[in-house]
Amino acid sequence: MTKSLTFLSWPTARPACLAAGVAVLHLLGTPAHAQILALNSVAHQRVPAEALRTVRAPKTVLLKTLLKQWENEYHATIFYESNVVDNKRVAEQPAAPGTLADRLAAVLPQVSLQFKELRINYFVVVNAPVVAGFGSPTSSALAADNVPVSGRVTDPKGEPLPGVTVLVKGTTNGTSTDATGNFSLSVPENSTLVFSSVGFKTQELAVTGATSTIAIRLSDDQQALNEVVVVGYGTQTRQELTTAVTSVGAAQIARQPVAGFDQALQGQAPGVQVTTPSGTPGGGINVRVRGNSSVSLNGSPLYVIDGVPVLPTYDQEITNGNQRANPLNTINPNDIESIDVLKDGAAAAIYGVRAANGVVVITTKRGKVGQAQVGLNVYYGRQYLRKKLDLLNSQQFAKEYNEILTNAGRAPGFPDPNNPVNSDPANPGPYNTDWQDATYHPASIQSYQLNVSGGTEKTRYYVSGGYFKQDGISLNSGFDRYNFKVNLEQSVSDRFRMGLNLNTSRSHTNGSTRSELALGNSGTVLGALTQIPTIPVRNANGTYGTNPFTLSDNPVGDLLETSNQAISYQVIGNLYGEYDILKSLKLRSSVGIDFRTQNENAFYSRNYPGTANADAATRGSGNTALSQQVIWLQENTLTYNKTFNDKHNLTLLAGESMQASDRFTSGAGTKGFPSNAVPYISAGATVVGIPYSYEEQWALLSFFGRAIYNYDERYLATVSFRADASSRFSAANRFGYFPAVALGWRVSKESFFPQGGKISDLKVRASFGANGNQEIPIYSRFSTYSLGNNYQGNGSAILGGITQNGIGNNVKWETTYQYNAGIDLSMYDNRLTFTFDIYNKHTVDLLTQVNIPLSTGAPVPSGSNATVIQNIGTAENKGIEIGLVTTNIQGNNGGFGWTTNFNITGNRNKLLDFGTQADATGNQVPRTNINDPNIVQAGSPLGSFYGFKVQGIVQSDAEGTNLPKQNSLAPKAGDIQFQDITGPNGKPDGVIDNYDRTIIGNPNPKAFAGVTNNFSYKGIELSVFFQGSFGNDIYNQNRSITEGQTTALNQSTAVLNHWSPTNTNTNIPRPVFGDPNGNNRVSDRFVEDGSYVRLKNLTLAYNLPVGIAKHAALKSLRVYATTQNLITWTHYSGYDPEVSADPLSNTSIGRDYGVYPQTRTYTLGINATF
Amino acid sequence: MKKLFILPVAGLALLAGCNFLQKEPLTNITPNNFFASGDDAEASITAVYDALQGTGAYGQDLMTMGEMPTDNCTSANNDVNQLRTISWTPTTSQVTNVYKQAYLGVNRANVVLKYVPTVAMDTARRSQIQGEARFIRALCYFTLVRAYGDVPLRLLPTETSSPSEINLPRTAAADVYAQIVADLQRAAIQMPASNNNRATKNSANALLTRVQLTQRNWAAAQASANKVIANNIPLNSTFKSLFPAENKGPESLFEIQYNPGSGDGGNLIPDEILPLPYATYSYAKFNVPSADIIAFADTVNDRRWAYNGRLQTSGGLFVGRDHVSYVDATKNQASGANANDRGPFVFKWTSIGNGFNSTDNNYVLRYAEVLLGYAEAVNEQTGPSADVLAKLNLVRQRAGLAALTAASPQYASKQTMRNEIERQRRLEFAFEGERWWDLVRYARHTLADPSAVHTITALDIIAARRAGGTRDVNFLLFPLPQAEINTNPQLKQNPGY
Repeated sequence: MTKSLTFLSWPTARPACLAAGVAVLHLLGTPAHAQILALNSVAHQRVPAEALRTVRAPKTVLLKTLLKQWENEYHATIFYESNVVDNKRVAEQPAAPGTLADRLAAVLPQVSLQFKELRINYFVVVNAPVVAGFGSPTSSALAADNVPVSGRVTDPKGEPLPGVTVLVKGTTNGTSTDATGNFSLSVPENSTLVFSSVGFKTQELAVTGATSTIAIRLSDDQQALNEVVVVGYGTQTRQELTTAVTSVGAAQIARQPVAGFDQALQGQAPGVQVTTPSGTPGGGINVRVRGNSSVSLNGSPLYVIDGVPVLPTYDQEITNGNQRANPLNTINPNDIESIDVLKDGAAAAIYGVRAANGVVVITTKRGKVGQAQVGLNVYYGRQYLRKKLDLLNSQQFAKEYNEILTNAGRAPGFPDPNNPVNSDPANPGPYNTDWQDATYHPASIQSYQLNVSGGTEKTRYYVSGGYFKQDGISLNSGFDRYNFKVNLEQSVSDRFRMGLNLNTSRSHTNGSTRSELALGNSGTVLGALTQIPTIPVRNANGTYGTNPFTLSDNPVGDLLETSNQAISYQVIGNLYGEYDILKSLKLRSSVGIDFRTQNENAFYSRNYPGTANADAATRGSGNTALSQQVIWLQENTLTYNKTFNDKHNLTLLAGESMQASDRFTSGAGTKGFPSNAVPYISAGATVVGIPYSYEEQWALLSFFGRAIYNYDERYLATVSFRADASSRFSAANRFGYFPAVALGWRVSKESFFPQGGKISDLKVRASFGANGNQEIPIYSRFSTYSLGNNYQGNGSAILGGITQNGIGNNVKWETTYQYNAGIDLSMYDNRLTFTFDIYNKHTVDLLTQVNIPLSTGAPVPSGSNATVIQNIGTAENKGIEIGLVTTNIQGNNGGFGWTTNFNITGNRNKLLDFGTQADATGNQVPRTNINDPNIVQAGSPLGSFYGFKVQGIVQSDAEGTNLPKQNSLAPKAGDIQFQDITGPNGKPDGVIDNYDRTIIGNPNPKAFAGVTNNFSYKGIELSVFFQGSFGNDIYNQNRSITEGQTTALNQSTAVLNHWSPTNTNTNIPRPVFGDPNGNNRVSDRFVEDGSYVRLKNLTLAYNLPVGIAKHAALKSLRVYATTQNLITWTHYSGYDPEVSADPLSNTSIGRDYGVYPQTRTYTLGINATF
Repeated sequence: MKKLFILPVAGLALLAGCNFLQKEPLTNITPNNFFASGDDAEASITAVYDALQGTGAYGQDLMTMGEMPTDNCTSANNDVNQLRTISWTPTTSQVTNVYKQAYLGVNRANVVLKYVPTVAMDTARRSQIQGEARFIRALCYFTLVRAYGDVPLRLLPTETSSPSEINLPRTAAADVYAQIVADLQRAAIQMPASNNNRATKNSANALLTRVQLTQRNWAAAQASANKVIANNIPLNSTFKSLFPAENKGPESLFEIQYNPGSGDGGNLIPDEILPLPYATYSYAKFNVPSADIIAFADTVNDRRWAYNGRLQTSGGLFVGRDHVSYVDATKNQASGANANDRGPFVFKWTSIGNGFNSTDNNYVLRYAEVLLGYAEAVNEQTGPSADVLAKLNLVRQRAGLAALTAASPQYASKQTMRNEIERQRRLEFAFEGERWWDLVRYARHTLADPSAVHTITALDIIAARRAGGTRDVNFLLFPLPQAEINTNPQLKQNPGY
């Protein structure tokens, strides 16, 4: 064969140089798999070249482009191996009537190809037999020397695969598997069968004679799975992508026993940092794409769930109590098909003013053509407190407390610390209560999901229902969810399709109102750490034991006697229609909804220890609140897709979007419950405060456009633009404009690039995009007033006065300009894919609250200045991301297989500019926001820890008198000596005061990574997922109490090593009541290395052999055991290094203070299909 | 299928409507949903008055700022120590709070003046409301300009975050005074002739008198005072009947109302100045009468200071000797009384403190001040005259003092008459919050005209009370609050701080 480059490019047939790799060509086409086999004889005429040359030189087109076009036009699937069609070109075809078969027959012979219609609208294109001449090869399929073969094709899990193409190699003789994965056909003896299907690696099998026992298990083609990337208002193939998008598949998400997909994203995608800030069941998850780019605004990425943009505002879900419900929990992770994270500015720019934190596109599962398939996914597990902290026992505590008192010149609290009896004669003791054991208990986690999917050529459906329940390891806490989902697609006519995606859920969070509160507010996590061991959980008379020294609460009582039941209903979905105006022009119109309602009912029983001593008539209190939000969406897009002059591939998008929200909340509270029988506010005696209601609305009107162009799939370019008009901004700043451009070059498509070598694909790309963040309070542009303050009017009339409570603003959105460069590389037949990205995000016009002068006369809360939001400052995030997916050992047909998925990210965050403020002398100096222990200042990463530096322990009172004064006192023996860094004149001044604070830690990790190894052998699979964070600090504020040694609170065993005249070689200061020296001030004493590596998920699964499964009337059955958080390697001394007491904050991060501890979970589960 | 095209069509129709992005606050008052009726206008002016009640204004700090640095008062309370010892700094609480509260009043008045003119309501009342807002704006700016000197002059409500509109520079004091005078002159036209609870024409002219005396614009002060005097207002028949202030007398030209029974806040001052058993708590009190003023007053003949009777609790325990302006509680035997409750105490607020929630009002302007102001203005222009004596004697005679005549030694010269008028001002208005401003006024008068000698001025007190003993003119002004300096890059601190 020649590599003819004649004008007509005919006939051209390149040797197959790319091995099995199946291209999916249809973008939004209809994947169609069925079992009807229709043999089709085609006349393979060969048109004489001379005849063609007499015609005026017609243009040529890429065959694959033509096929793609026809797929769209006829809503058919044309199946071929990419090396078969390759870059072959054929004469441009005029638009003409006729069946697809007619048209294929007219074109394919130009390039020595032929086709076969396996069933309706399903065509296979293969090389024409070289020697067969013009005879129909199919006729030989019926020849007498053929032998019958049959068998079954399954996926890697053993589930039957319908619609797999089975061809005799080099012919069009073939069939496809039926809904149960079975096939049968007659083949010549000693021929080779080729099994191929979208998303799986093609396999070949030689047959020597008649057989009925062929069992083929196709393995996933990772590359192929990722090939279609959802980029927002459209899709692109991975090869043509010019932006940084990471895709995470269903298997990676569904493996983990967690409430929501956001939690399961952890460690799966480079550039995406997921932290579970606390172990609260159903709580909010912190997701940051490429670092924090805002000081004050929502740092969460925008989630686009089946086309509906959802921005989780955890704080808004809360109307009552302290729960941070997570609106993303409405989606059952089992229902997710894929997650695409749009990371660089160019990819996200199509979502404009909400895209600065990246965009996460969630696509849920769809039905496939074929018989109804029923899936059942069940797991059950137990969760345990991952780690207990070592605390003092009764005798140790009594001794410690005595020292605390005597060092301050007070009488000891326990006359005999060896027999620490309670001073209350009714409960003499001695007790030795382990409050952690009393507060935490093993809890169950369970999930059930049943789904039915299937479809015909015209209708496809996926319906599922699920129930998930996670009890909390802390008493009286938990989360459960019922969800129901429908995805429906219907072809109404040749040119018109419509569909429905609907996710509905009811979730219930049961929380004590107390768990994560501060100690002084009877937080129970801190309570379990600090309640003293010398008292009982319950007294002999049944009341709760309370601390006789400080009256602090009883964590068990606080948990059991308070509750907050939050029930939310949520619907996220859309209804769409798609109409082909022209063959290449498609109109899509949709209406979507994000509806949330949450009601909460909180109750503090009469026995709540915090108010046990209150007047009986006021005991017991209740609160209720309701929040309802409707966010509707309406979008229209036009998509134009055409190839010009064979090589110019162009996709144009123009769209319009309107989204608006209305949220209404109300609430009321009462107190004075005569009994605990009815925990609803109507049973209370007195109304507390004024019942309230509140309503707010926002709207966003957007226009956007995008052009995706490539030349010969070699030179790639994408340009997009979005204009967003937001109701949050005043008219002058209403429209934000967000352009983006991305370029790519597929080096491997160049002629100079060695074809058929180790490198199968190599692409370099670069992009720039502008994204916005508009998440300021909805009405902050208005100057608002409220009624309230009175003044005597005429006579006795009193009129309420209006006072200002908000100042309007004329700010604009924050803008993030992001530059990205990347490399995509595939090697060894796609067994190795490597992605590298380097980026620089520059966020300008940071929005933050700044104090304004008193002379504005604006509302002033007690003593301080009023604030307004202003555009101040600049932040930067830069980093690199590496993703590597390898098939180390290919496990064909049940052999040993091993794949690895590795990713690592390094991000550097820095605030470049934060404006100025005046110092005490009126000079302008850089602005700082200090919120212990964090500081926001230019030049430092967001959330840097700021405090004093420990220099050592003062060894004698005499030494202390020569040291700088701390809290205006000379430090005493055993006190901590802090470093005198500077003073008002820029020099150390012999006084330890606020001038001596400095940066003492950085909570931002230097790098974070995830690595998953999957092993398979026969039906056994082992998945090992490690995840880690490196180089981040944690401020362990718990220790400022548990090692504080200042009052009657229990301490950690670390204090056994405290300083004393006989124990001087230590870093734990002396115990002393009231901490006169400020030993417990914010200092590097409590800063710890938060680096960790953890075996996040370990799953061992067994896929029942198909034969056995069949006996049980099952198509497939997988049983598995999983543990989550099995082992954690860390130097961090607290409960868990994955922690944040302020989970929603961008600037107060890495602080551990009373955070609900994480669990270790063991689960058993099955996945079955019927 | 055709039906589905309703979607884009509906979308475009909504676009055409184009109020899609107009999302107004629904549960907040904004200028767009308010100022629609007379009730709204009344509510907005009510808030302006409310600003005067605050602790940063007459509710507490103006009352201590006007007395604690003077020869009238002393105190052992740390909260007023910096005022007493004239060692205030930019972070002194009174320095911050007075500034803050005055601008709160200015901003609220600006809201009224911006929005009320277009409210559909009774036009006469609408005009009055604007007059009242101008009066209070003038009162607040007068507080600011005499305490801090040049200050930012803001005449529109703060409704934007734009730095150029938020960070205003200082306006020259003369221009601030010009605005005050203009506001008061307009207010005097717009406000009603009488209203027990609110400001009136007489309030505006009385304040104008005080402003113009401060400017040493004697002729204008005389004219302004004359507008009040022309109304033939009587003084209260007895000085004793003036106290506590409760809208009682014809003499009251403007007082701050406290009416805690009606959902309004009460007055803190009585609890802060009175001893047990009148106060709720026992602690070191503010504004304690100094030995100097008790020695200065004629506690026998001057009915303002004379002994009036013994004060006893309901159980008959001796509390003290009532001297009208003060109580001598040196031997206080009331139950619970301790050293904090013994000694002299101001007794112009005599209701019980009621837990910092007293119903006593505070006087801002009394007719007696207009009379003395008139006398001073005329004396400074022409020296002693029958006209001066006529006004001065009204005040003297109500106090039980003999009328002065042309033969009286005080009549001898402008200087002797000046001394007499100053003496009457001090004795008449002691503890009512004006003494420091008078002393500052006298100091500036002498600085401007060394021939105008005052018996005592603020500079004498500064020299006496400040460590170092210098007559530091910088302390005639308070410093700008640090919270203002920190946030407004347009401002420079007053000299000396």
